[in-house]
Amino acid sequence: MDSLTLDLREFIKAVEAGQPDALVHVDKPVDPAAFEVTAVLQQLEDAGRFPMAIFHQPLNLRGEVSRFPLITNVFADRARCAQALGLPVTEAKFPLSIEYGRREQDRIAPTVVTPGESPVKDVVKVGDQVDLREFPIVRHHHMDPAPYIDMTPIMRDPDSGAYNAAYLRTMYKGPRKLGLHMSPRHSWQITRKHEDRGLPTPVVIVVSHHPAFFLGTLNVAPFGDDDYEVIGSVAGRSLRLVPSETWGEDFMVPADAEIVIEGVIPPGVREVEGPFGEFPGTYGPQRLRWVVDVTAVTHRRDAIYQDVFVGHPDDWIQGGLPKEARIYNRIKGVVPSVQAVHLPVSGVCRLHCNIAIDKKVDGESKQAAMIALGEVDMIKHVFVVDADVDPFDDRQVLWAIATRVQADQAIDMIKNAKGNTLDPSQTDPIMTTKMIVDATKPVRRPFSERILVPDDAKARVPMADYVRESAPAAAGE
Amino acid sequence: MASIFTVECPSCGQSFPCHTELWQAGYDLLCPFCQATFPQERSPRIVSATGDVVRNDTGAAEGM
Repeated sequence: MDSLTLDLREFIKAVEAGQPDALVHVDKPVDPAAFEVTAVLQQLEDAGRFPMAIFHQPLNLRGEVSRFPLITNVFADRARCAQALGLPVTEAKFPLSIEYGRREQDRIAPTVVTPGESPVKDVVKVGDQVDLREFPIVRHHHMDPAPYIDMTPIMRDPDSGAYNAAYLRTMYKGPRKLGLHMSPRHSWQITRKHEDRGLPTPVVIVVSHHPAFFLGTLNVAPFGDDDYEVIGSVAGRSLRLVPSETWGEDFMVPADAEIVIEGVIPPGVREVEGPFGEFPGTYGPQRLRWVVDVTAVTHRRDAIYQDVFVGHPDDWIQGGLPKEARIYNRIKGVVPSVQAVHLPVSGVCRLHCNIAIDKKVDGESKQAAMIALGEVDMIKHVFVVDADVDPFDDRQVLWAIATRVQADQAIDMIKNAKGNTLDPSQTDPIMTTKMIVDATKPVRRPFSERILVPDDAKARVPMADYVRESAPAAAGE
Repeated sequence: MASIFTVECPSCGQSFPCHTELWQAGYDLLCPFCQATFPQERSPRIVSATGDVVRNDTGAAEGM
């Protein structure tokens, strides 16, 4: 990150300069509300490609070409997540997780700036001036009932004053109305506190911003810690804040965001919302959920609208990597031989956890697994492997399971533990069965060694010097 | 996620999942396919969370 402020377009320039293959442009008009944005992304994914995508002429909800270009799939590759935090792409695996965990422990106080210094105040619309139909809001999957904004609402705890940011889905319901889904976590707590007092809950949806902002919102700091301070630390600079249009200094908003939506959650009001294609890659059901009455919209003059391809790597990767360092650090205190922790894409970066340890005594693997299960309630299956297995490589992990596991000795199940309501395999609304697979070799008895081609031999015959590619056959041969 | 039942839309005939908190809760359901809104009682076919099939044209439960 070159500038002192967080600017999405600086990030786009950096990606285009450093990894041109990581960015694609769609110049033709597409209709996001008719699944045409996700149709492009799905075809890229089917071809094994996960670039960031900019749609230059998306239609808005009135069917016109929107003034806002749309960017999505930003987080579908760990290399871009590393770049967003100012790390080299070569550190996109576990070093990225460790660095995230280090920054998450610190706090950087925000800086208050004036509206004149705030790009997000270039255009201000309040009350009847607001019309959400001007945005290219995306309808993602075939059973979503409406376009959804799937970025980060921010709320403020009425007791401590701490701000909380979280990815929450909001369903388009009208030009100044959204439906809001929450699980019983921090945002839900804040809303409940307001409702218990008969008060509306102020909410600010940050629709688009530099990706470091959104990665920062995924921190796992305790309830009551101020997320604006944590986001600043994760991003590596003080977050610039400006008074909101609706509440002034009583609710500050990110000054360098692209688009911000302000609104209130009226107490005691519930309406049907969903179904919605959720993170496991399955639909969450229609429910009774909260609504947001929109009070103001502010944005940059040339603002970019942002979306996450939920239920796909764009969603999974950013959700997984902040948890990896947290789990690693907890395990490290008890099992010092832990090498790395990874929540793989194959397990939607939530339900599966791979742990590599350099096991010194039998039992360490199970100890490490139990810590992971205790630390992140979303994790359902833990696979512990030896240090010679890369936990970031599913093929290697499955090889270890194939060759180092006897099921009756290496698999443990824990019934009736807290799971995730969106896991479609659960037979109970809350509880799930956890599983530990210990795919490590025993320490106290001989075990067949892994085959190995000697490194010194590979050094003597470097591939570049010894291998000649077969020439393509000439035409007509 | 055991707490779902599926509802067939009386307008377009497609089915979608609802949380059991909506079961006979008095709210109109919203069809995600055709945007029709309707009370649960108007759905021609509902599969409950336990797998029982309810056909509202006859009012009979097929059972499963």
